[in-house]
Amino acid sequence: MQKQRASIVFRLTMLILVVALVVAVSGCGGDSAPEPAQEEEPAGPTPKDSYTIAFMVKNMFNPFWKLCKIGAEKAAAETGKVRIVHYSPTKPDNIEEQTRMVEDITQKFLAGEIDGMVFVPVDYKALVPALNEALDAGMPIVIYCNNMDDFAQNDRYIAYVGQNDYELGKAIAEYAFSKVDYSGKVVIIEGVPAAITNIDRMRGFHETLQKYPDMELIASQTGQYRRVPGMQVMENLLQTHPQIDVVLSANDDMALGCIEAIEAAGRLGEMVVTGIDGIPDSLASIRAGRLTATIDYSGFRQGYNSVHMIVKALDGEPVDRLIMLDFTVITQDNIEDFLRQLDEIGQPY
Amino acid sequence: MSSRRSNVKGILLRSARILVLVLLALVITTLNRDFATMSNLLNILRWGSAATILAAGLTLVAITGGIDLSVGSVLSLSACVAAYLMTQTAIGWPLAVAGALAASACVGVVNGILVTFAGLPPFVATYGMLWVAAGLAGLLMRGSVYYGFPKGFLFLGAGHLLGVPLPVFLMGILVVVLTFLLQKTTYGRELYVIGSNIRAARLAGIKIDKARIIAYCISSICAGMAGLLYIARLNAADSATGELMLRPAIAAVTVGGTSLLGGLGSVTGTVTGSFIMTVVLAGMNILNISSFLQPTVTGGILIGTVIADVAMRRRETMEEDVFSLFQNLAGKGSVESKKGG
Repeated sequence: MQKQRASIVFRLTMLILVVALVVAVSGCGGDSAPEPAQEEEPAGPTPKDSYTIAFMVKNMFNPFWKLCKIGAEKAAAETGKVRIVHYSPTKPDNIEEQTRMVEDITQKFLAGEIDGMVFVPVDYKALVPALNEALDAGMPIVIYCNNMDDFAQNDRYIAYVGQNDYELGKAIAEYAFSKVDYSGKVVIIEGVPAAITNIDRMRGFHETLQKYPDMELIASQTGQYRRVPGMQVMENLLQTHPQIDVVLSANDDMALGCIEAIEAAGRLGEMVVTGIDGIPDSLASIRAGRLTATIDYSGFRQGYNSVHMIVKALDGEPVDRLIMLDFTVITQDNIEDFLRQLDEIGQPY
Repeated sequence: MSSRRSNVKGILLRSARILVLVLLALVITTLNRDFATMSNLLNILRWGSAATILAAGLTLVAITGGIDLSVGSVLSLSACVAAYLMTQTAIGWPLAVAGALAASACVGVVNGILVTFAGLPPFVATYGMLWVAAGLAGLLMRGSVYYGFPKGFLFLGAGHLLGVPLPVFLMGILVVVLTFLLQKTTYGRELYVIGSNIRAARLAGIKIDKARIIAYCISSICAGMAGLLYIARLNAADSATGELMLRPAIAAVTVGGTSLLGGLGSVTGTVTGSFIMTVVLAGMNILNISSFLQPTVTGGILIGTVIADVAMRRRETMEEDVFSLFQNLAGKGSVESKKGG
C-alpha cells in the first residue's frame, strides 16, 4: 500500500519535473529563433544578402551580458540582414561548456549554417585551442569585451572590440581623487583577484595612486566582484578605519554593496565612492546622490559595435583590428545628459 | 554511559573548536585592537548569522549521511522570488517572504524525493537541483537586479530586537529549535541512526524516506531564510546572490565536527565552525591581508582546526554514539545522545 503510494508520488514528481523542464526550456527558447529552412551555401568570405551570426556571452545571470545581447540585436536590426543566434554557457563562466559550444558553432559553420562568430572568452587562455580550431576552419571571428591571450600574435582574428580596463581604472581614480583635492585616505575594493579585468583595473588604480603622494592607500581587499562580499568587506573595513576619504571599487556591484554598508554605519556623506561598469542600478544610485561616480563600460555598445564590425568584415570592407570604445565618467553632474543619450540610442537602463 | 560523563566528554569535544575560535580572536586582537570592539563583534555576529542559518540546515542533511549541494542556489532562488514579488507585484512583503520560503521548501521536497523514491545518490540529486534552482532564479530575473525593498522587510536585516540585531535573534531561535529537534525528539535521533546505519534504521522500523525528505526540506528552508536575510541587509537581489555560499557552508559544517559520512554532528558545532569562518574573513579584512593570500590562510586554519579537533577526540566516540543511540531508540539508557560537538 505504502509502496503503491510512493510510486504514485514518484510518478507525479517526475511528471511535475518534466512539465517544469518543458516550461523552462520553452521560456528560454525565446532566445534563439527557429532555424529557417535555408539552402546550404558554401562558406567563404563572399558577401551575402543575409548572415547568421553566433553571439557568445559568458553567462545568463549578469545584467551586463543582457545589455550586450540587446546591443547586438539592435545592430542586427539596423543592418537588416543579420540573424543572431545567442549562445551562453548554462553553467556561469564555465570553460568546458564554452569550449563545447565553440566546437558546435565550428561544425555549424562548416555546414554553412553560421557565417561568423562574435565571441567573449570566459577564460582568455583556456579558450585559445578551441578558437584556433575555429580559425583553422576559416570562421570569421570578432572578439569583444575580454581579449584572447593570443590576439596580438594571431592575425586571423578579425578584430577586438572592447574597453581598456587599465584606462578605465586610471580615469575613475583620477576623478575620485580630484573630488578630495588629491589628498586623503583610500580604500580599494578588488574584484576576483586573478581576473584579467581586475588586474588591469588595479594597475590603473595603483598607477594613479603613485601620481599623488598625498593619497594614502590604507586597505585593499577583495569583494569578489559581488555585492554581498563587497558589503561584508566594507563593513569590516569601516570597523577599523575611522577616516576613509575615497573608496575605489573595481566594479559597480561591489560599490553598491559598499554604499549599503557605509549608509548603515551612518557615514555616507563622509567619503567618495566610485564603481566601474555603469550598470542600471548604479546609475539610479548616482541619480539619488549616493554613489559618487562610475564609468560606462557599456555592454550595449560592445555588443552593438562587434556585430557591426563582423558584418562589415563579411561584406568585404576593411575593419580596424583594435577597436577601443571611448568611455564617459558618469557623475551627479552629467547623469541626466547621459541617460538622455541612452534613450537616444535605445539602450534600456 | 552516565549522562554526566557524556556531558564532560561533550564539552571536551566541543572545546577544541571553541578554543580555536577564541585563539583566533585573541591573535587578531593582538595584531589590531579594533577587532575586539563591541561594534565589530556585533558586525561579525550579524554577518555570521545568515551564513550560520544556511550551514545549520545543511547539518541535518549531513547527519543523515547525505549532502545538499543545492543550498547556494536555493538561497539565490529565495532571494529572487522575494525580490521579484516585492518589486514587481503589489503584494505585501510578508507574503513575498512566505512565497520565497515556499519556493525553497519545494526544492527541498524534490531533493528529498529524488534521494528517497528515485534512489539517486544525494550528491547527484542535489547537484542537479543546484542547476535547476539556479536556472529558475535566472529565468525569473532575466539578468536584472531588483532593489529598493519595503522598510518592514529591510528591518529583518538591519533591525534590532531587545538590543540584538534581528538576524542574530533569528539565528539563535533557529539553533535552539534545531538542537532541540536533534537531541530531544525521536525524529532527531532517527536522523542519527539513518546516518550511521541505514539498514539498522530500516530494521528498527524508522520511516526513513519521510525522515530524509523532511531533513532536505529543513535544509532548503534554512537556505531560503538565509537568502532573505542577505537581501534584507543588502537591499538588492540578483540571481547570483548565493553563488559563492555553498563551499563556506560545507566548510562550516565539517569544521563544526559533523561527519559528512553521517551519524555524527550537531548544530551547535556548526555554529562554531561558521563563526570561525566569519572571524577569519573579518580578521583578514581588518589586518589587510593580501587578497591572493587569503584563500591559503583560510584553508590552513580550517585544516588546523580539524586537526586539533581530531587530536582531542577519541576514535571510539563514534561507535559509542551509535551504540547509545540504539539504546535510546529501544527506550533504555539516558535520553541524552552523545554527539561529537
